[in-house]
Amino acid sequence: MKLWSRTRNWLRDVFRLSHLEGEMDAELNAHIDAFAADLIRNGLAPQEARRRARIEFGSIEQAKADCRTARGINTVETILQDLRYALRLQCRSWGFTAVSVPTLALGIGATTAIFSVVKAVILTPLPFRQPENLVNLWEGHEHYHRGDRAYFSSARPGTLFDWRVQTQSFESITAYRWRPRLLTNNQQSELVSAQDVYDQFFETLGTPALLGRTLQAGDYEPTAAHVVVISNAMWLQRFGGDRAVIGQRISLDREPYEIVGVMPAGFYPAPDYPALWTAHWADQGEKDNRNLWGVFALARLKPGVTWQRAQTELDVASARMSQDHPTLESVGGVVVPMDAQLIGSSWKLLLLLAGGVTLLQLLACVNVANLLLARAVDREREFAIRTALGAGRGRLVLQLFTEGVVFAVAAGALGIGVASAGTRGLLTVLPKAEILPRLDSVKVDFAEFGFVCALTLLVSLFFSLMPLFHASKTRPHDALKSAGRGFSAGRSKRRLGQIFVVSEFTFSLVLLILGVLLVQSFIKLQRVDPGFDANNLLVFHIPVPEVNYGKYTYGERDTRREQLYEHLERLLNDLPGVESVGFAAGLPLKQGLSPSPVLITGREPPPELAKGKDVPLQAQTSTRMVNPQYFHALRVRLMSGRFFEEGDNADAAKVAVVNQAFARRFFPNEDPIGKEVTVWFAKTAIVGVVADFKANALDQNPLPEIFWSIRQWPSPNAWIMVRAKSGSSVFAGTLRQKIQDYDSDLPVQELQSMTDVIAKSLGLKRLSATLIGSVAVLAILLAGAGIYSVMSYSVSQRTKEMGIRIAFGANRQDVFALIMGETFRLVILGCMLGGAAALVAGHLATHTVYISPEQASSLSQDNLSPAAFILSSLFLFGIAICASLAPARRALLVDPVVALQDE
Amino acid sequence: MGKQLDLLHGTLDMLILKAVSLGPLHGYGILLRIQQISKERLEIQQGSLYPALYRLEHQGWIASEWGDSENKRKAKYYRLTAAGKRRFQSETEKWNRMADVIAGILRATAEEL
Repeated sequence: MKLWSRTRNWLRDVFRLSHLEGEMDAELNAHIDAFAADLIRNGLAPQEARRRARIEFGSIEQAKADCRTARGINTVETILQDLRYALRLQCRSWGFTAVSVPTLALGIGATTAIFSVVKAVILTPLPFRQPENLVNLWEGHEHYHRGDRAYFSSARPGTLFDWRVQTQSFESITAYRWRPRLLTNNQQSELVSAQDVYDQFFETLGTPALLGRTLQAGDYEPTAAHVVVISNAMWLQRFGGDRAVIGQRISLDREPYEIVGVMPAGFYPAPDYPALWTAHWADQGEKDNRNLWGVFALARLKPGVTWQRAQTELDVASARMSQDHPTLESVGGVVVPMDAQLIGSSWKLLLLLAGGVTLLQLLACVNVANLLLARAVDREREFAIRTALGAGRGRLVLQLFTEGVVFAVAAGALGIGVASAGTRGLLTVLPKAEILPRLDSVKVDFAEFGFVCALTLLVSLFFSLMPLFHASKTRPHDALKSAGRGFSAGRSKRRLGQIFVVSEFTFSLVLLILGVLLVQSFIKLQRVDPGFDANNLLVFHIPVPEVNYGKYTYGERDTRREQLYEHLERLLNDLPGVESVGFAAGLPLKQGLSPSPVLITGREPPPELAKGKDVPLQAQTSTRMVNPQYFHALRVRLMSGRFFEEGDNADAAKVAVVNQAFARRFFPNEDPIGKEVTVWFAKTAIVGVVADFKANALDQNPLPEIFWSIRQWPSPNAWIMVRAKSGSSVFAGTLRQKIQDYDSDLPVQELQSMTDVIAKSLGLKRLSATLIGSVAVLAILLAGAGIYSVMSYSVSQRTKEMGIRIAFGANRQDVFALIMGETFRLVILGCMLGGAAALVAGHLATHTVYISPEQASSLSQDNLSPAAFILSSLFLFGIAICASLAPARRALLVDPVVALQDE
Repeated sequence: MGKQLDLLHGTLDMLILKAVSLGPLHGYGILLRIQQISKERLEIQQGSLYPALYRLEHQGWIASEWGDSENKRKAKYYRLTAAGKRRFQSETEKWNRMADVIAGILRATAEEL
């Protein structure tokens, strides 16, 4: 109570400081007046009375100061005074403020924005129970790059159940399968993306439902009632967030399902998010069918088991399984920790960016340190005078501290704006690369912001306090003498400035070289010939509703699906302006790889295949089902043999077309035409060889690829490409309408031009080139400003020295050479350091942006081009020279008489 | 008028509390009252009065408000608060006990020991 009233008094006093001062004046004056009045009454003359009253009272100022101290407001008063002084100082040297505050704000903001994204995407744990124990399981080979989705195969249900029996490392193993479901609701139907989940799915992930419940053991029984758990997004969009949704019925594939639960937002942290989950019962037929792929397995490790140990166990189990059942074509299993899986290779881009902005922030700090230091040296005299006049050490520290805080607070306030703008900017560009999960949870991270601000504050405080270190080292009269008599600047202070120049040069050179390398490789990729003609080609995707066209099973024919494809092909071919219509199970540059071992009739199978694991990538090929017009639509050239023909149907002999890479790899000295190869149980005869084209990525050399006819091997999904006749165009709206007219349940998805597909495939590289490029531009600006300020400060400090030199007969060219020589020395040192650092960083960056080693091998060598290094160095060199030209000119124009008389 | 005594260290607060306990007073009035009660035997530094007043007010033992003085001028009047009253009582008791003890010690003669 007493404490409170005291604090209240104190606060009132602090906030009404001027009022209090006024009261104090009034009260003391009243006292003196009253005293004087008494003295007058005692017979003194009025003037004499006032004089006496004042003398008897003693020092009024001292009494006031004591009163303030009694109230505990003296310190506050001092700080306010310092604050006013600091603000005045910032205003007076507005140039300094105008340069350094935005510089710091930029650094703080950019760093905060990037690290906010890094935190949300990488550092925040996944929203599952003990997420560190969750892993993804793939059928595939562990020598592929772990975490790169494209290189693994989904699993087969049979394998999943084998794993459950054969391994001990996992608490539970479950799986899901993507399945487009036709959702009918008030006569309106829509194809939604859904997951069929195997038992223990929700138990494995361990996230409770937001409303209702998740799927339970009983729901998976084949006879159980149909129930569905819906996603948060669907709940909000379709049901308006109504809590009474539990128990409602919806129709999926024309069958009634009861909604039993709603999952929380962000439950499934993947870029593609299912709308609902239904239970799936695996019957014996499904387990036995080893041709059925397409389930994505998840598992929870037992406590204390590492994923490496689980991998070892899985390897042993796979080897045993393929020995017991050689017909299973077991390819082994791969354990990938779920966080690595979700983040994939995106962390590399973030790492690159984080490194970039850290360098930028360092640059900003160096710049500001440099400016603060220059000012500190200027103020050395002020502090010497104040020390000489008796200012205490603490008083000076308090003042400098206040100045530093004012400075950092201004930078921080501006930094918040930059950070939120930067985060928003990143959130608009990052999703375009389609690689980062969990972007929806990104927000400006204030802990990060505080951390960066605190660091900045420390740096600025450190350099703000610089003059004090000097002041305490030099005795006041030395400093006064030195400034008064005009010695030239001390060597140690110049040395620090030189270190700043070199480090700025180094930092910005690294960023510039990185930026140039990335932009260069991006431009180079844009010029890469994809091997097919992307112009005049519209592409889209049709997920086929299983309820109408049957469930897809590899190698099994379903006439409904085949008829649909053939019908669509005819329908689109009949459109005016259409030249050809290609169908395929995936698009070039948009499809993952699905490598499979190649068996050539008449040759030994790869020895590893017999052992059931680790067939090297060299012995594998990518597979694709395409229709006869596929190659025409893409305008891929035929090298030998023939394309598919309409006659290559289900009744005819099974045939295949391969690309040149395939022919080179497997038939280096033979004609592949007529050879029989088996891939994925499909034994086919090669009838044609087509030219290589970029199927996976523009920066990747074509890998062996084998094509099968869609008429003989039905495709699970349909990517359709419509080639327009030259000179005419096909309208997207017409396409959509035609397909809707045929079956209104068929959605046309991702309709775009093939050139867009190519551009999107470069999204990640475009993004890194743009972002690092802009960081580099900022860095150049900062470094230019920094070098300029150091050099001009150095010259201004040496004006006297120049004057002396000229007075003693030095040539003006010599003086110019002296100044430029200093720049040259520093910049060359910076070039060497920066070049070396960029070599390391560039090496890291090229491996960062390229997803896997073999991709990098094709281009990264010439990517670290010496040209980039030389040009960047020369460019920065030029900037540095320009930045020091003006100061050097100033030195040239020094008039010795003025310089020596100055001060 | 005998020689004036310097104020014993730490006693000014108590004297101020005593002065205002008799009724609200302004600063100069407090000075006069103390001198009047002490029969002009105490010398108080005028400048030291105000810091003491501010401190006591800050501690909540006295409160102030502006009013008109005898000669119709604005003056700041101090009065004792309830907390100040308790404080004054306990201080007075303490002082009396201490004075007794000290006086007893000073009175002591060789025979009593």
